[in-house]
Amino acid sequence: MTAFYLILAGVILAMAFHALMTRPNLLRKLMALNIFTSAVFLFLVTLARMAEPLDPIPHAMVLTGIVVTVSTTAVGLALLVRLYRRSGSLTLQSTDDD
Amino acid sequence: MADWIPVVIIFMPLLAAVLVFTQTVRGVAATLATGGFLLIGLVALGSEVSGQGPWLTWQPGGWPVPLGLRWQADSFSVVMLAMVSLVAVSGGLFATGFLPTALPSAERHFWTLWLFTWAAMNSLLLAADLFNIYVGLELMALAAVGLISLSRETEALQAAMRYFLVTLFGSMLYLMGVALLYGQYGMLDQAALAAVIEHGLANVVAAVLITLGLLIKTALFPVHFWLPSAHGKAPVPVSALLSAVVVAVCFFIMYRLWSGLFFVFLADQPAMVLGVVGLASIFWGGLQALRQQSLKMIVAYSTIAQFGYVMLVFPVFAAGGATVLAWHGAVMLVLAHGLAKASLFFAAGCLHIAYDHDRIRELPGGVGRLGWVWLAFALAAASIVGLPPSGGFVGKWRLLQAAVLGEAWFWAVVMVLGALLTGAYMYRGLETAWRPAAPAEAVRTVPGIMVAVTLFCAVGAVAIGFLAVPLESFLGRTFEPLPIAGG
Repeated sequence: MTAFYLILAGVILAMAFHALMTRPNLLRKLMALNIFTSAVFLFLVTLARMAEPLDPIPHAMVLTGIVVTVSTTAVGLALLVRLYRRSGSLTLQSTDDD
Repeated sequence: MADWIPVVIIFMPLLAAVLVFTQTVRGVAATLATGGFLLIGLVALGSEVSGQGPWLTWQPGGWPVPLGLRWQADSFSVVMLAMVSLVAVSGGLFATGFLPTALPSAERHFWTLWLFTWAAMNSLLLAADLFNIYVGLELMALAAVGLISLSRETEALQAAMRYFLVTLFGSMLYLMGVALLYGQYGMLDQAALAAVIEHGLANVVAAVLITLGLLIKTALFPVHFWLPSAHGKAPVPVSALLSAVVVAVCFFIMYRLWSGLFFVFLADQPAMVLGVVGLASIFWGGLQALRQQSLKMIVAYSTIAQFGYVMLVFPVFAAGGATVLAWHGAVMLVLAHGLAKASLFFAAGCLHIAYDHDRIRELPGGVGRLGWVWLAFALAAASIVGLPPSGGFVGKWRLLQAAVLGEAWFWAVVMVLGALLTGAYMYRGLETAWRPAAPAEAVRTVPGIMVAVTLFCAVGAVAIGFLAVPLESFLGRTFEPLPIAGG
C-alpha cells in the first residue's frame, strides 16, 4: 500500500513541475509550487509510515514545512496582488537585460 | 565551550528585527548595536575555534545527535560570519544616506527585512542539521524577496516574483533530496550522515537534487537567469547584500556538503560536472557582462562569473595535490568578492544618486566626492579581476597554484582565461572614469556617508590581500573534513 503513495507522490510531483514550467499565469505557478510542496510532504509522511515502528520525525518536519509553506504562500499572494494592481497583468515579462 | 556564542550570533539580529518592526528601536541603531554584539560574539568564537578547533559543536536542546539539532562552526564559518556582519553593517550605513533620497517610503520595512536576512544567514552558517538548513533557506529567501520588492516599481516586483518562484523551487528540490537521505538513514545531521553514507542510487539522486537546489540559489549557469533582474532592479544596499553575501552563503552550504557529507562521491564525475558548471558560469556571466549598458547590470552579471570561478575549487579538490591551497583559495575568493562586490554596487548607487542614471556611455568622469567613488570602484574592480596585491589576487593565485600542483592543467587554463575576461568587462565599467566626456553637472550631492562606506569596502577587499598570511594561519594548515562523532 505504501508503494501506491510513493507512486502518487511522484505523479503529483511531475504534474506540479510541468505546470510550474509551462503555465504563464502567476497564480497557476504559485498553485503548482504549492502542489509540488504537498507532494514532497506526502513522500515524507509515507516514509514515516514505512518505518518500523512508526517514525515521528518526518511528521515534525512536515508540520514545520506546512508552517513555512503557509508563510511563503502568503508572501507570494501579497506580491501577486501588488504586481497585478501595479501592472494589470499576471504574467512575467522576460526582461533579461536593460 | 561557551554556550552563549551561537545564541548571540543567531538571536541578536532576530531580536533586533522584531524590535525595529514594533518600532521600539530605530533601524540604524538596531543594526549598529547588532553589529557590536556580533563583534563580541565573533571574537569569542574565533578564539575558541583557534584554541579548541578545528570544529566546535553545540547541542542547544540537549538531545543526543540522531534526534537533536546541532550547531557547528569552524574557521570558515567564523570568517563568513565576519564578512556577513561587515557587509550588513556597511550596507546599513550606506542605507542611511540612500533611503531618504531614493526610497523614503520604505524605511521601516527595509530595516526589519534587512535584519531578518542577516539572522537567516547567521543561522545557515552555523546549522549542522539538513532540515534546519531548509528552514534557514526559506527564511532568507522570504526576507530577500521582500527587500527586492521594496521600491514597488513594476520591474522590481517582477524581479521579486521571479526570484520568489525560482528560489522556492530550489528549496523544494533541496527538501526532496533531504527526504530521500532521511528515508535511507533516518538521520539529518551532516556529520552523522557522513559517517554512514555510501554509494547507491537513492543517495546519488539525493545529492543531485540538493546540489541542483543550491545551484539555483547560487545562480550558476544554466539556472542563473533570475539573478541579473533581481540584483539589478533591487534597491542598491539590497543588491549589495544579495550579491555579496546571500549568494555566498548558498555557496557555503554547497561547499560544506560536498567537502563533508558528499565528499565520498566527489572524485571523478561530480567534480567534473561542478567544474563545468563553474566554467559555463564564468564565460556566460562574463560575456553577458560585456554586453551590458549600465554599471549596475555589469556588476550583477559579474556575480555569476565570479561564483563560477569559486566553483572550480571542486575539480581542483578532486585532482588532489594541494587540497589545503584550494580550500584557502576558495575562502579568500569568497571573502574578497563579498567586500569588492558590495563596494561596486555601492559605487554604482552613488553615481545613480548623483546623475539619476548609471548608463556607462553617458557617465562623465568623477571629480570631488565622485572622484573617491571612482577610486573605490577601481580598487574593488582590481580585487574582482585579481590584480596583486588585492584579496581577489591571493584567492585566485592559491586556486591556480593548487590546480598546477594537482596537474589539473585544463582548469588552470580556464582560470587564466576567466581572469582575462573579468579584466575586460571590469575595464568597460572603469573606462568611463578617464574617458574625456562632456562635463555634466551632478543632479544631487551624494551624502558623505555613502562615499565613505563605498571606499571602506573597497579598501577592505584589497586589505584581505595584505592580511592573507594571518588569515591563512587562522584557517589552519590542514584540510579537516567534518568530525564524524557527535560532540
